[in-house]
Formats: sequence, structure tokens, C-alpha cells
Amino acid sequence: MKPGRRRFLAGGALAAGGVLAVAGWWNSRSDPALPLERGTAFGAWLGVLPDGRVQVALPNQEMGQGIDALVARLVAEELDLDPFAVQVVPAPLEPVYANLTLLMDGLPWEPGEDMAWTQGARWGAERLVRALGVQATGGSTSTRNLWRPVREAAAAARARLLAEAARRLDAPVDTFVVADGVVTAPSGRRAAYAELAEAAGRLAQPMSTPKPPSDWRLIGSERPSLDITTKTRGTAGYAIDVRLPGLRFAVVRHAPVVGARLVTASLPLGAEEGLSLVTDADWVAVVGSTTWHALQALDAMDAQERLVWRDGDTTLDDAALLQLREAALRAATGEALPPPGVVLREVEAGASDPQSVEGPVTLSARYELPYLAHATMEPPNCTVHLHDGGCEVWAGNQAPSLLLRLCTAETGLPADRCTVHTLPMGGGFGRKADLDFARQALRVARAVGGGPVQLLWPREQDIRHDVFRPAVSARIDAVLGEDGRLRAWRHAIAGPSVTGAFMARIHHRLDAGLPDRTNAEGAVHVPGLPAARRVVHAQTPSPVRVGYWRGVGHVPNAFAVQACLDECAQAAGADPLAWRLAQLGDATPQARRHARVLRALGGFSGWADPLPAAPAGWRLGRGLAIAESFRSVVGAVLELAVNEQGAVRLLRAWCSVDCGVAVDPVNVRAQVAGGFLFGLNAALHGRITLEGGRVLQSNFHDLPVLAPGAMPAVQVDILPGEGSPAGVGEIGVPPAAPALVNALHAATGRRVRRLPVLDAATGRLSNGD
Amino acid sequence: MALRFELNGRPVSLELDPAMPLLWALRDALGLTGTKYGCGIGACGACTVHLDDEAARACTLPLAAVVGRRVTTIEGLPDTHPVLRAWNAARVAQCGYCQPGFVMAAVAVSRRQGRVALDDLSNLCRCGSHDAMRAALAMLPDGPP
Repeated sequence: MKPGRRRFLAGGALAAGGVLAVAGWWNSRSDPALPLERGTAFGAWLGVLPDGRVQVALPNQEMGQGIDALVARLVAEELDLDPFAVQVVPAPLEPVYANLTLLMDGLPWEPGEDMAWTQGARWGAERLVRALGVQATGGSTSTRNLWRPVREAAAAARARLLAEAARRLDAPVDTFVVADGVVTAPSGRRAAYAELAEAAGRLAQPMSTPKPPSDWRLIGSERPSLDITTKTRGTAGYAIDVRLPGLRFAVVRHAPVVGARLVTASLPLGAEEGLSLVTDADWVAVVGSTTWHALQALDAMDAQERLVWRDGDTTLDDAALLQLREAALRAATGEALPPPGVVLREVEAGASDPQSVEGPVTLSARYELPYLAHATMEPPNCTVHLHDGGCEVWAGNQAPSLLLRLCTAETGLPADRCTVHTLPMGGGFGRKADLDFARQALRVARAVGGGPVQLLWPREQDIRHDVFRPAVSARIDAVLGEDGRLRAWRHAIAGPSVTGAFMARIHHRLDAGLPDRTNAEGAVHVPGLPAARRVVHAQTPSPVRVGYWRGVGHVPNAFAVQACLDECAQAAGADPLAWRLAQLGDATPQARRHARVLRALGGFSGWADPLPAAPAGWRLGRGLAIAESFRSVVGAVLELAVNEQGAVRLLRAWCSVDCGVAVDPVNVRAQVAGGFLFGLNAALHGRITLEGGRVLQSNFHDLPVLAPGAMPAVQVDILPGEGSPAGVGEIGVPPAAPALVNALHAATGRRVRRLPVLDAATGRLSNGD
Repeated sequence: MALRFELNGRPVSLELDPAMPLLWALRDALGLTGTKYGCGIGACGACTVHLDDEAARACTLPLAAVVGRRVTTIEGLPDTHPVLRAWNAARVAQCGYCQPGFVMAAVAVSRRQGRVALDDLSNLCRCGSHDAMRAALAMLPDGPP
């Protein structure tokens, strides 16, 4: 380990240790019981309602990952209930519900580095994170974070309920049969949870542990555990659907050029009565009686040149940004000094230096990925009602704790006067961890004074002014030996730190310039790479806002690594799957885990089978990629067809998944297939182009999403897993782009190293690589 | 001048700008929020409704164009409709936001031609719930309902 890194970690340990006194005091307070209107709470997580249903607090936010169904399933499993008898409610904002997994995953050291002194730092950090009590959803952590506390809480509640049943039914606990919340003794006497709860709640807590896997009846089953009818019917209650008496509708318009500020703004001539204009440094909002009135007014203001901005950076374009990344890459490979503002970090060093290794075959490949928008189907929106000396906020958001802080900061009200309603999101993908839209809604509500206001970013604003997935450039230099095996690997990555940018948006002092693990994830700890390897990240500034985007750093890094490994296999004259297996070997558990996924995928996808016959004028190809992310491993095969004009048709795909315990296999398949399609769509079409300081794309006409019929059928095979669940929500994304370009190569013999693969104007394969 | 049309089987009369797209009248004036806003340019289909039994995109449909006609929104679809049932049985929804639009589009196609293929739909879904939609469509009975 480098001395600098050691110093940083040691410093982290001390800093973490320093807050222990405070955190320890904080944690010593007993956790508040789940607030219930009626019924008996069993600790912070759950309670038994008078009708026998069980209520559970869900600290995570639902955005399509199915976490509400998952928590219902975990509770129903431990308590032997029908999952439909579990009522899921949003958890109050309390430290006991903090997302420890998310924040601990974000710390700048690896799980493998658990030496004594990093363990101390981890322990300290865990206490700190808990004391901070940040409730947030991201990093594919929802299930991982709830797995232990929810099952333990439910097992503890069950132990108390059964102890009370033993007293009442006069029989030992181990003779009971429990089903659907009813305890039956050998005598045939029965008692329902609803009858037992009140007395059980007063009992001392008996020892309890969650069920062993051999007793699971719901975990791993195909049964549904939540009704989705409200989503199908449009009544799931997204923030955009909040309707309050007297609600007015605000529409936002941002400065069109990056960095521009507002000079003047005024409502248009002939504007309808009742419109309000709210201005800020670099955005305005018009408030009207309907969204349409506000939209119309903004368009009229544009037409009448009533919106005047200044000082934007009109020199900003893709070429300038690419130049910066290229200079950063040259610095990362030691060919030049780093340009101003670029910070070099060695994020992985193997046992030896790859620079000195020679071999008969050398490969050097440059990979390019564009800025990307999230384009959640429900655009950013937030409703605020300032009333009775308090503030009420409704938003689909991935960080309610941060939203609460934002409320107090913007309104000056104490936290106990602010109420945050976190509603299901019509897509999150990382976008709704950033709360710029909520800040605007709070300011607009204050400015118009009283009465509820719903603020919306129309799709054009969402796409042009998103917190983008940053563009990333990468270069990989690989050396192969006579045997066709990798001898040396050097990977240089250039791009901005998303975490740094995100933290700086929360508070300007939080951008501490610390290493950002997301820049390296997917490029480091890749099994099967040679001992002579080095991975360097050149952190560039980003003049446009960047944010977390589903899969984060794994997406660009898996693209470069898996596309390059395919080139290596080709250079070795070997089958890409067989070559990867040989490269992996079986020396480490991680290598064996990847090999197991690849072997399963080979069989499942029929990798060795001949391709079906291609229609006249089309060539078929199959591509492979494997990526480990969020503690899961996904191997993917994509089959596609390309015609002579460069049109691409995606035909079929197969994903083999090792995600530990698959709590809800139907949901795992949906998440993995959905993530894979999300990644494919981005790799085919996804781009944000800057010209003259403006984003060119604005809506689904120039930022296409694949039509339903163009989406390939994705089959997902879940490998049996043990232990605990790993991440699922993002893991399908990283292997998609490399599988696509590897399949394109198989079909056409051409390597595509720049995303997106399709030309924006023609919708066909772009010329050049 | 009042704009009159039939909405989910009942007559309505609105005093609104005839240029206002039906979407905003439904959502902001009438409080029928099952019809979603996704793009405002008729590209994503989240706002799909039926105009005299044919699928139409409410975000680009001015109120003037619905006067005297029959409008059905997702709220007007009976719970027992085979498309709704199939969607629920196949657990299609992930985030769910685009789903009412998909359901309305699929209902219109099924009314016209019976079986519905994924290719018959042009709505957009960002979660990638397409495999489950294929499964749901496969559950639909043959022939028009």
C-alpha cells in the first residue's frame, strides 16, 4: 500500500475515533418504538395491529426495485404470515433506520482491507454513520441493509408472541404449529397474534434468531408478496399525483447555458391573472392554476425575450471536454504532466509493474463513454405546503434525511416543524438522490407565500439540466504471452468524481477531494488479471453537473475491461468464454465464483451452439461479458443481427446471476433483465451532447428509448446462492454495453470502442470506432 | 364557452382554454392523475387514453379535439378487464409509472385485433419491464374481449 493512502486511512481512523464519544452517547439512547395508532409495537421495526396484520417500517424508498414487497416477505417469513397480511409503512426519520450499508460501502477502502487498524476505523465509522442516521436508497443496498435488522426484529417479536402463547395455551413453544399468524398447540387450542400481542409486548425478550435457510418457506419462493394493482391502475401515489385543495402548479426553466445567471425576467404580455413568477440565481419558475398555464407563460416569455441570462460558458462543448480527458489520460499513463485541476490516483497496483513487461502480443485500446441523462419516467417534481407555522413536503426522493435537512435550511424552521412525505418514485436510477428540485419547490412555496405548490421539471428541463452520468475516457494496454495468456494490464481512467460533486452539492465544505471509490469500481479487484497490473484514475474537473447513475462507475469500467478482454481473447485466437475461464483459473474464491457464473452462462445461453440462420442481408453475432458489482456477479450473452446498412437488431439475451440469496427470484429476474435493457439502451442511443455551453438533447425524440418491440427477450438464470443477499437493482447494467460491442464484433468483425454505438442522425452503426 | 365531452361514461363540461391538452385538464383541473405526464410531445405514451375506443396521447390532444367525443382514462377501465388482470398476474410493474399508459394502449389494440404483441405497442418504459409485459400479453384471451 502507498504511504499516502496509509496516512489517509490512519487519519480516517483517528477522525472516526474522535466522534465516538458523541456517537456512543447518541447510540446509547434507546431506539424509539414504531409509532402505531392502534396495536402493539415490538421495537422500532414492527408492530402487531388489532386485526392481526403486522406493520413494518420501511426506511428505503421504492423506485421500482420492489423493496416494499421484499420487506413484507422478510417479515412474513419470520412470523409465518401471509405476506399480504404485512402492511408496509414509511419509517420515521430516526437514526435506527439509517442505511449503514450504503454509507459503509462508500468509504474509501475495500472489504478485503480489514486489517486491525482499518477495522477500528470501520467500527468508528459505523457508529458515526448510525449517529448521522442518514436514510437513503442507492448503491443496490436496500435488501442488504434490511436483511439482518428486519429478520432479527421479526424473530424477536415472534419469540415474545410464542412465549405469551406458551403461557396462555399451557404448552411448550417447540410444540406449536404457527401459520397465518395463528399459533396452534398440540391440544388443538389456538391463539392469534392479535390476541397475544398486548401481553407479549410486556414480556421480557427471550433469546431469538432468524429462521435457518432450511426452514424458509417464502425466501426464495416464486410467490408474489405485494399487490401491484395500484401501479397498474396509476394510483400508486407518486409525488406528481399529489393533489391538495388550492394546489398551484409551478414549472421550472433553467439558464440555458452552463454557468449562466439570470439578469431579468418578467411575465409575458397578456399573461393570465393569477400567474406568479419566482426568480433565483440561475432558474425561474412560473406558478399557475394548471401546469399548462405555467408552461404557456414560459414559452411566451421566451418568445417575447423576457428571460435574459448572462455569463454562460459558451465555449463549453464535447470537444473541449474530450481534450481535457485525453490530457488527463496521457498524464495517467505517464506520457505528460497532469493538466491543472487533474488529480492522479493509483487505485490498484499488482505485485509488479506492467510497464516493464514485454510479450509477443501487445494491445492498446481507447474507450469513450458520453455524458448520460437519467430520464426517469416521472420527471423531477416536488410539492410543498407551508402552513400553520410548519412545512410539509411531498417528493419521490432517494434521501429523505437530506430532504429534511433541506427543509430546515430553506425555511429556517426546526426539524420538528417539517414533515417529509417520501412517495414511490416513477424511476430513480440515482437522479432522485439529488434534491435540487425540492430546494426549488421550497423556495417557490416561500416566495408565493402560503398555499400548496407543486413544482415540475418538464421533460426538456430534466434532460438538459440533469446531474449527468459523467463522460469517461479510458485506455487499456495489455500484453499477452506466447501461451495467449495475459502478462500485463494497465488501465487508465479519466473522468470526474461523482461522489465529490454530490457531496459538494449537499454542502460546499463536504467536497474534501477524497478518493472516490466509484471511479475505480469495476476496474479494480477484477479476477483473472495478471500480477503485473496497474489501474490509475485521473480525476478531472467537470464543468457540468454530474451525479449517480444506475451502476455508477461499474458501467464505464466494465465496458472498457470486458471489451478489452474480448480483444485479448481474439488476439489469443481463443473462444471468448474459454479464454476467460483459462484466465480466471481457480486459485481464489472470487475466481471460482466468476468461473461458476461463466460455466452456467455457457450452458444456459447455448454459447457453444451454432447461431441460428440469419435472414438475407443480415449477419448474426453473439457477445459475452461478465461483471461483478454490488457484491453480485452477472454474466451476459447478447445475440444480435446487423445488416449491410449498419442497422442493428437485438434478438435475445441471457444473464446468469450469482446474487447470494435471491429473496424474491421473480423480482431478481425483473431487476437484472431491466438493468440489462437499461444498459443496452444507453449503449445504443444514450448521449448528452454539449455545444456552445448548451445541451442539445431535450426529449425522447432526440434521446430515444428503445420501442417495446426492439427490446430483446432477456432470460435470467439465478444460480443457487448462500449466506446473505447481494445487490440486485443495478447489477444488470454493467455487462450490457460490453456484451453489445462484443456481439457487434462477432457479427461484423469491427470493434466499437466509443459509445453510443448508433449514429444519432441515421440510427445505424456509427462510422469509425 | 363550455367544452363538453364524455369522460369515463359521464358527461363533463369544462371552462378551459380549448388549446389546453387533455392531459393537463385531466390531471390538474379534474384531479384524474392515473394518466401520467412523461414527455409532453406524444413520444412516450405515459398519457395514453382512449378517444372513442382508439388509443390517443392526451399530452398532445387539445381539448378542442375531444369535444363531443368519448374519452376513457385508466380510471374508467373496469377492474375485471383482462389486460389489467394479466398485468397484475405477470407482476409487470417495476416503478409502474408508465404502466397505466401501456395498459390503455394494450386494451385499445386488443379491442381491435384480439391478441396483442409487444411490437404493437409504442410506449416507452425505462425500467425494462418488457419481458413481464410479454408474459402478460401471452395471458390475454384469443380474440377481441
